[in-house]
Amino acid sequence: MRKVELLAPAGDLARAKTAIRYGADAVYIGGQLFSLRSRASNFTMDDIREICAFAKDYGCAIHVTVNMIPHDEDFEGLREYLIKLQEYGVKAIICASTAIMKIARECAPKLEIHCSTQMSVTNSLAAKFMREEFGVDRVVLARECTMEQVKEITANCDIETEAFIHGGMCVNYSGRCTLSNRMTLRDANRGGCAQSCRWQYHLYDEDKEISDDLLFTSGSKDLFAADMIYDLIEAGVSSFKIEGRMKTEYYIASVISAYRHLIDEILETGKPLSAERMAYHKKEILRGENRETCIGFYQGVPGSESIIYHPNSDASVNHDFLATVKSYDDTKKTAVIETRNPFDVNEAFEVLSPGRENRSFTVNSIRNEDGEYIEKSRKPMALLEIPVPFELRAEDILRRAR
Amino acid sequence: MNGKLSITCENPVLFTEYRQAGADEVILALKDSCFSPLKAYDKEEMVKLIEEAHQCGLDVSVLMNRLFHENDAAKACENMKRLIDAGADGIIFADTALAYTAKREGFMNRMIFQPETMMTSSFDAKVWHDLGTQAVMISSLLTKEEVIHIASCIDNGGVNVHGYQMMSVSGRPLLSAYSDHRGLYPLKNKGNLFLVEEKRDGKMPVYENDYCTMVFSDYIQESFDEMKAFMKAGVKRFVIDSWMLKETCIKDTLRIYRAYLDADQTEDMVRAYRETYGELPLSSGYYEQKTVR
Repeated sequence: MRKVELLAPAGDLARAKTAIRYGADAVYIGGQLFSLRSRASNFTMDDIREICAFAKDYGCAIHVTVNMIPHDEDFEGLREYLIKLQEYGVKAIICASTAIMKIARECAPKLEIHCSTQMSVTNSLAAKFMREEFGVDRVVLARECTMEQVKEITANCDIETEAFIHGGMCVNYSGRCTLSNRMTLRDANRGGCAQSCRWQYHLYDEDKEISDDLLFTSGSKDLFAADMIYDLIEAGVSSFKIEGRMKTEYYIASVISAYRHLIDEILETGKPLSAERMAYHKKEILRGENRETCIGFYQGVPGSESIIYHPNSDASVNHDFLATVKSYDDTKKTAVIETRNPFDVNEAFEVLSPGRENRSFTVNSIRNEDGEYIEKSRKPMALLEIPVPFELRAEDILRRAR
Repeated sequence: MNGKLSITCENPVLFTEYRQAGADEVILALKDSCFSPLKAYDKEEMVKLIEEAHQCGLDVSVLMNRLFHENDAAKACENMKRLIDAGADGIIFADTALAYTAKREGFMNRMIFQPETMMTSSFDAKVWHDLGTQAVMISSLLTKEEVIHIASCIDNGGVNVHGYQMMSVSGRPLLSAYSDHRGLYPLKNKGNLFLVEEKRDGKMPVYENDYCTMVFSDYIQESFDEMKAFMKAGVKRFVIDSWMLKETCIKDTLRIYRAYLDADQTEDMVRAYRETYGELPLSSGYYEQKTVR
């Protein structure tokens, strides 16, 4: 089977490096200008230059989102920005404005142009138009496409396709929702989305409320398309995109690593995996997920099963991410770790390490920064020392074993 | 002509009255082709309606603003060609598949690009102007100054001056899903449904058809105070969305915009209109309030 691109999100330099270490073929990031997700940390120009150099060492590509729907004042500095992206070695920009595409073609012709999902491309004729008029190299398909439609679009146009496989989903067509604008005056198409679709609404039939037991809401469950990976590869889709530039380092590491293993196993065997192997990979992917999931549109237009109707949907926040490794002393067989979530002595840990199978051990003792032995770790970002029976590497991730 | 006054129409019997009230054009929705709650007509009905409207002295633009899927994009393009052949004066679209076909067939000058939320800069408007479109509809999310600026940069700008504005469109049957979840009666293709946010008061019309669920603004856009400036800036297309408005209100609305376009006296008409329809949630929308990032 042909190789496909695993495309990871990253909200800052640390998370981008994590995504690359854990097996992403490409990482998409946002600069501090021209990008959606204004609440993601986003990259300075120095960060972009650094991550391009870092990615090059791993044979990884960097894509930059230039995907806001711009107002006139947003074009200021755009040309200089695009020229710098090209100079730093960015492979592609992801755009939702035809004007930005035209400017990019003029001033930074080496940059690939990827048509953002904000443009909601749902058929091959639309993709051909974007190719012919704006020189688009790839279209990110709208999340509203079914598997059959993805197959047909990919077969019917001579342009690369990219499909989402995991992460948050707009319940509305991307780029065509201004609920946030109306509710909060924050422009959803310029990074200010307040996720007003997830709020609660009274629903009236004329003057009679029909939502008295349960208010109307329309927040979508996250996409989880592990079951579709084989079909998407078979369909000829070039890039498999994971959403989540605002997600944590732990999410990035665990989800990217798990999809890396899943994709590689399919590519190696050249056939669909057994139910047992799929169950294993799906369990691994969901270790990093703390939200409810659905299959999106891949198996048809989703109904009530895809919507989160109950409030406080994040109640089951995942506390599995315990620490990152700062250093390992091979002589003493101890590691210095930086904590995240609480844990106790005698808890079982699992190590996520790039390119290695997961390993487990039990924590027999914990020493704090003053050298005192403690029974419980409760403080986030504390530096602790623990014994570990095998070698760890800096930036390895420790999570609760299950 | 100072600009074309166009209005959505759900009842062809009213063609003559709309013409008399000042409309230059009616917008008719094509079945299976719209993100719109308007009553829609199939292709052959549309062919007849185009002829009828022309006989009344009205142009016809066909609303085809859906995003088409791979299995129905080609059919949509065929329908569009048939309607162009039948004399449709414009095709209102959002899906670039239609532009692809129009360019190949040589009728880009009939195409009216209306990507709703997406046309927010003069740079993007210029791109679509230069592609040879008949009109580029400027987003209703902009301030008055932004609309004026964009319109002054092209010679084919359009503005949705009046009516409820679409705020979101989902490919999912959100009302049916909610109804299923709650065990309620069917809510698809049902009018007079409204959403009211838990901590706010505005009533937002919501409608689900076979292809989408749409939420509309809790206000009716009104642009009387902005008309002179828009005309001076060179706006060429003024659109009234009549959905949910009563017939007398629609005709009164048409008369006022017509008066502006004809440079007639409007002060008394506007005052009377606001008194008569004071219960409606008329608003200047985003003209005086700029969204932030």
